[in-house]
Amino acid sequence: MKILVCIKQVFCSENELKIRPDGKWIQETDSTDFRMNRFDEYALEEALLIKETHTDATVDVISVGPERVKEVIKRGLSKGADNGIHICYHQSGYCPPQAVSRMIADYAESQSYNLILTGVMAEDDMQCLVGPMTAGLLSIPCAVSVIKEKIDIKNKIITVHCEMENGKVEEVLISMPAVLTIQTGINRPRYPSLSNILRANSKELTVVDGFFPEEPPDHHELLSIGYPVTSSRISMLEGSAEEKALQLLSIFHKKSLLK
Amino acid sequence: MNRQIIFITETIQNQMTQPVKELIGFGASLIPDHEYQSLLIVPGQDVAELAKQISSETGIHTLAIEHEDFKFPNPHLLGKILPTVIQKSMPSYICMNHNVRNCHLAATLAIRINAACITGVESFEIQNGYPVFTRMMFNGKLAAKTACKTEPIILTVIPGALSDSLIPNRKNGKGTIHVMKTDDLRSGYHPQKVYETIAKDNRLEEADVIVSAGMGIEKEENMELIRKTASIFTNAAIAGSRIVCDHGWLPYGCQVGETGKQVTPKLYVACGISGTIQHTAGMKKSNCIVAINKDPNAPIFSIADYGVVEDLKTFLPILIAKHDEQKN
Ligand SMILES: Cc1cc2nc3c(=O)[nH]c(=O)nc-3n(C[C@H](O)[C@H](O)[C@H](O)COP(=O)(O)OP(=O)(O)OC[C@H]3O[C@@H](n4cnc5c(N)ncnc54)[C@H](O)[C@@H]3O)c2cc1C
Repeated sequence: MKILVCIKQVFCSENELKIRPDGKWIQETDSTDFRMNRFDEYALEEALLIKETHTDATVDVISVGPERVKEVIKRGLSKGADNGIHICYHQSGYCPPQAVSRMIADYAESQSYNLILTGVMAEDDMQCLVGPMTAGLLSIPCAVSVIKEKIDIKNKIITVHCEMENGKVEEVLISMPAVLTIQTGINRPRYPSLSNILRANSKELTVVDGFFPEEPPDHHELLSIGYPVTSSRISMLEGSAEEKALQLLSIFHKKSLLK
Repeated sequence: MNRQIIFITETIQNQMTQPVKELIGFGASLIPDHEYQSLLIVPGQDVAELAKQISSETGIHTLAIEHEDFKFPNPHLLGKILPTVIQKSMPSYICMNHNVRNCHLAATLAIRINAACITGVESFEIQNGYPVFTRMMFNGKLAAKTACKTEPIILTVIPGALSDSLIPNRKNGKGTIHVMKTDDLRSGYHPQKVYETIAKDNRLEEADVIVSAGMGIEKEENMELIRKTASIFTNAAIAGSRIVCDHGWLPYGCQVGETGKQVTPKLYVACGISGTIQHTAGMKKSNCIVAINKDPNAPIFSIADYGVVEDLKTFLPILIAKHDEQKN
């Protein structure tokens, strides 16, 4: 069984994000921190768990982006993925999911994967589209927000449990090959092992030239990004930590909520 | 020529999962001169009655698409059937409520009919006659403005994007109802059932105060700080973000948000929670929201009543100590 995991490198969004002068993306500097998209960590772990039970399975990790995304591919290898594929796409800034999924589908098509996994959402653009768009391009089924799966390799059927809102779950049978987008909580992502880190450092990545589909009609344009206006109702407490604590206690006291 | 808007709803066992009234209002306001025709698509196993009911309540034309595999949500099959329906009417917009399955459907349609697609739309404004859509990025920290050069545009719209008062009055006249049976179509996606997972535990519903932990607590030991903070109140419960529950630091019954619980306490204290819409969907209706976060730009501050920019590891002990001092 051949498994492909699509992983994305994202900005550490808890840090300060400086907006580029043209307003269209984040300003990157030498000290900008990146990490693997949290949801993709779970997708990769699920692939590695599948590999533990299906011993013939191989796990490839793929990422689209500039030179720096090699970092997350290496991280994937150091957790136990067999091969890393870098679709080298230099244009910095926002790359719409239509373009990313085309680049991934193009590569995946040539490799006949049985299963393609990715996170349910990317923390940066938050669109939940690359997984299902890749499935659409490959004309294979997709299941989103998967929290459990069982693979029947003989009959080429996967039983997936897809999370809905408010604690509801939908159980679905889908045929393979398929794309699954993985939700957090499905597993506990492992840390890289020392032997895998050493292997990852010496492992050659497959590098493929990325292409930006020439202005296909389905593209949207990101005009600008900016800090949203904060709610008018908020009051930010000022002063030292002690003073803020006292202000809070007085607010709680007025509401008669304290012991 | 009148422009077209297609709305798509979702059903479980022939019941709608989300109301469509607000969605229809959103779509209508996209076309400033209100010169448009609209069609609501209702997929389901046996939904002709439901389609009829919506039609008479809203005056909209409806198309019920029936298949036994539509008993539960089936974005894959719907994505297969809809292109022929859509291409007949060449709509300007295709609108649905935002959820992950509709993102799946939107993606499938975007590929099949070669259309632009924007998910998680929170609001829009008309600029030079064209809509510019606002949606969140970077875990809710930044808002992005997006526009499309071509139509149709597929949108998943976050509930609350349009306040009720802005929803245009329903059009006069009765909508027509059409039923399309598609049982002979096969696909590789067969929903079996929908089941509930959340344990019946009413502690969060009954508490006046909820002290909620996000990944800002950094490690499990710091849950103790959350527990101690809760103990200064007479009737408090503790809760957490999804990621905190994923780490096993709290049981899933304590998860607040879109895929967890919806809570409305008198006071919600968000400690180290970034405040993405998936979390705030579960707590933004709380009476009073206090956010403690070391990042002054954390999106949680955009819905809070009181904001404290501090490191919770140092701030919560001070809060607890000051309370103990005052009590004695
Ligand atoms: C389909 C779907 C459904 C989802 N459903 C839910 C849901 O129901 N509920 C839910 O919660 N999430 C849900 N999520 C996940 C959601 O998008 C976020 O990933 C999650 O809420 C983030 O959790 P967090 O705020 O605890 O962590 P983070 O996003 O990591 O935020 C941590 C915050 O803590 C702050 N911080 C860090 N250290 C400190 C410190 N020492 N002191 C003070 N502050 C600090 C940081 O500034 C940051 O703002 C869902 C996601 C998807 C895709």
